[in-house]
Amino acid sequence: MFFFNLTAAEFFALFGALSSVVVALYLLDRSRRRQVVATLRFWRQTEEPTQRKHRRKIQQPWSLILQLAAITLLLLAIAQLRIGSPDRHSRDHVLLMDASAWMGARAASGRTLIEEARMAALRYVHALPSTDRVMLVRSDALATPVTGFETNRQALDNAIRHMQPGTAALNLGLSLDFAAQAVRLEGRRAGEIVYAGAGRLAPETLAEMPALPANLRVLPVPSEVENCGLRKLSLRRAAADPELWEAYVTARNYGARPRTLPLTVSFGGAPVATRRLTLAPGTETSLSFEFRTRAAGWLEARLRTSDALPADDIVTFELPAEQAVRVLVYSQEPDLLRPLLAANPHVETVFRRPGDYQPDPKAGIVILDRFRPPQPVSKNAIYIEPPAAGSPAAVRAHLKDATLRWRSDQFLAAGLRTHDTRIESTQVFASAEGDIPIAEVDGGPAILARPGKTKTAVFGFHPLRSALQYELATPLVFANVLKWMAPEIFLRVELESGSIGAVTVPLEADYDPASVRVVADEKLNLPFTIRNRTLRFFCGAPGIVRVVLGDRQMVYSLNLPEIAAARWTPPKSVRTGLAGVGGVEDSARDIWQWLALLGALMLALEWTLFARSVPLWMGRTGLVLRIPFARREEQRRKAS
Amino acid sequence: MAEPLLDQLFLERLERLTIHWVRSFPGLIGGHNTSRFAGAGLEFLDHRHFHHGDDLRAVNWRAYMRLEKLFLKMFQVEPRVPVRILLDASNSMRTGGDCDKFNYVRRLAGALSYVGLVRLETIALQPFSETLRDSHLCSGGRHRFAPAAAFLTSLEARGRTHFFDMAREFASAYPQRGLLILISDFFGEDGCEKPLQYLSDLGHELLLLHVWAEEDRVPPWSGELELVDAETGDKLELSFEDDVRELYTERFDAYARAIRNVALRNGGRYIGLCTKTPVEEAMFGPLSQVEAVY
Repeated sequence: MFFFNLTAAEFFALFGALSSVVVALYLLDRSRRRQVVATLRFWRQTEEPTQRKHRRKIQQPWSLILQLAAITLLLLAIAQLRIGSPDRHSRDHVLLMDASAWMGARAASGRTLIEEARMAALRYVHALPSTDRVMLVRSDALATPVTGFETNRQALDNAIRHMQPGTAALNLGLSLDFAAQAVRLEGRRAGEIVYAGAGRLAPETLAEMPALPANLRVLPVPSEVENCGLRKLSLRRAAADPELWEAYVTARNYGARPRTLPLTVSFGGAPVATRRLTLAPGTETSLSFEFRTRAAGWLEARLRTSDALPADDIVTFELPAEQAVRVLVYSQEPDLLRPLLAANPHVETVFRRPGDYQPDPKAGIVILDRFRPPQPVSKNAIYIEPPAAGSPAAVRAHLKDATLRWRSDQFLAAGLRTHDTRIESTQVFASAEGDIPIAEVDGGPAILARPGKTKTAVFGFHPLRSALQYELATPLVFANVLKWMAPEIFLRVELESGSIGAVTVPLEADYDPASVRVVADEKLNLPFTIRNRTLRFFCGAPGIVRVVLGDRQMVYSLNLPEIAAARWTPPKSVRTGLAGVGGVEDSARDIWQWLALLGALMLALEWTLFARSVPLWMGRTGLVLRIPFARREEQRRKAS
Repeated sequence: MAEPLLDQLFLERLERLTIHWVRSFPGLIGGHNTSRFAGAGLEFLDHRHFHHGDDLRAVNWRAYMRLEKLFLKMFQVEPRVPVRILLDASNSMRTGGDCDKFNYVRRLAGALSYVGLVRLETIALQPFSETLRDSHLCSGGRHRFAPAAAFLTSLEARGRTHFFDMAREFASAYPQRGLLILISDFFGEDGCEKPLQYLSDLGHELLLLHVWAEEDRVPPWSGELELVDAETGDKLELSFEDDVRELYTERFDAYARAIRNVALRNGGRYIGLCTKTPVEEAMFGPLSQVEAVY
């Protein structure tokens, strides 16, 4: 037995207040009112002995008892007293609404799958007893509760009607775990866990599907949808030719019929490739193509089809422009350095005579070959065997026949190896604080790098006029210095489209864990994990995510909806549809109607037995509550 | 400025009224009520045989010339009879709620005084409670009404009502018989029938004006009451119901009938007045109907 509308405390508080008022009014009417009269002559002739009146007052508790009993019964009716246990009465259900990207597909009926799921969910909610509580959960890659356990059907209807498909795939196992946990932690009596959706899951989540709960009910929506869509588009510049883009496209047929579809790729509105894809049911097909451009612009790949889900038929990319660093060389012997600098496709080399020197040239890097500039250089500069008077680093000594050693502990000397290279003649520099020695001889650094607002590197000898001219270390040290001075030029950019949700990035073997960053739009750092040379991060909204790995940057354009490839079919033991929804056990029984009727009858009985006309003092105050009085019998008049 | 006891318009209406009494009283000539006693009057009444010592001026000499017997002419006397207004000024007159009985009684006494003054009567205003209190005698015309009104206005209701003591004192204070207008609620500890009978036996003509408030006759209260006697301070606790109210009213009416019987039995008159009845309406209604004034 329990109260449905009121708590026990509220009931007793109300009862106490009302009964106090009734008793107070009863006693107030019973209390003697002092009245001055002209004479007591006629009153004495009509009154009875006081003791007898007191006895009569004591003998009238039935009126008060009837009133209190009527109030009790009416309050019990208002509190909606029910026979039975509250725990066995209302149930708590969790309704998992599939809001994955697949639910945006249009079924054969002309409605989208999410509309079908909404209708099934509404039918289910309306079929439940009104006392059952329902928690609505949005299920896609995550399980997000939309409402708490709610009996308000209007609020549930609104929440269901506002459910929209997202862009992620469904992780049903996660949603089932969440539902079971919600019922366990917040539910009073576990009801059903209801899944309304098409059952399209990512293959990995299907493999990790936990054991299904016994109270699972599935509200299926039609999932036989013919759809083909793009799964991935990757772009990278060719290593040998920076102007050449290599593209890889993957498409999938989610339907049950083979399809042959045209794929068109356009850059800046102009078609750059057209292919014809033949897709078997349930399979993926990849193809590659190349196109050449240095300019920036929008690349669009489109499947020419009209299927159930248009969102995955098109993918776009913003391609960055090809960048190169301009290197200005002042040298009397340009042929020495020309092959060295021409080997790098990201470098545009311009040679000048020292007499043409300009202090503020239009170049990113200036190389001064055995040349003392009349004015200081305002750009990054590489000095090769500078005159002692014009060297940016003080020349401490001149050594002959010195053995060169690379400082492999410095990043500028990374990967440099030579065997006992002897230099016929070299300058030895005095290093200042912050200087980076790249190579040393016995007297000090022979190649020195000096960071600052403008970066400077000083070679104490000419590498191409020494024993190093045939060593691999020579182009490498120049490459390291150029990369140090213009790192953005040497950044390897890979573009890849993908789906919202969890993204997996394979890492190279020599990646630097300290340099790894995952940046979303607006410079927002996303959390990520690295395990077994695999980086994983999650992005819940469409946008561009950059994965920075040192000199490698991967740009993910997460615009494609994540379409789950696997299809989950509930076992036959799982209840499906609405069968048996309304027939849940309802052992608690309403008796408020009887309580109200009984209370009214008691009031009528009290009125009949004890009522009299409204006292005048009540009539004056407008108080209409009647306080019972014993009726004076006719015998009393006769006795008087 | 205090409100006048009676307004001017009402006083003007009262000027056409005269106080009348039924009995014949001996008194000075000059009144307006004829007496069945013969005396020095203007209107011829009868003849009788001449006796020794009679006034020779009243001998009918014409009859003597014809019949040679002495007949004496008798004339109807119109005496000036003293009018006493006994005014109940006890505490019980202060009850009545909105319709104060004492104020009503004062206005009624004032109206009767004015009627008497207009007809050149001599009016004695005599308030009483346990005993007689200071009185006010007024006569000599309407222009003497102002002191009477001031006297009535200055009266205060206090004390208990003892009709026996009052009657005894009245008998000794006013030996001359006359019209006795007793205005009261007739609520007293000792009852009023016997004192009234005593006063009547002394030769006074009783004009009893029984004044009550509505609550005196039909109490409006219900439930458990603690009643306090306005005069004695006695208390009574009782439960009062509708049916008992009827019984109460019956008792009251029986008491009023008893007072009325005393008056009628002794040749007097009884008028019951509820304070809800305006004084003006009472003067030209119930009092005129019993010919107390007309």
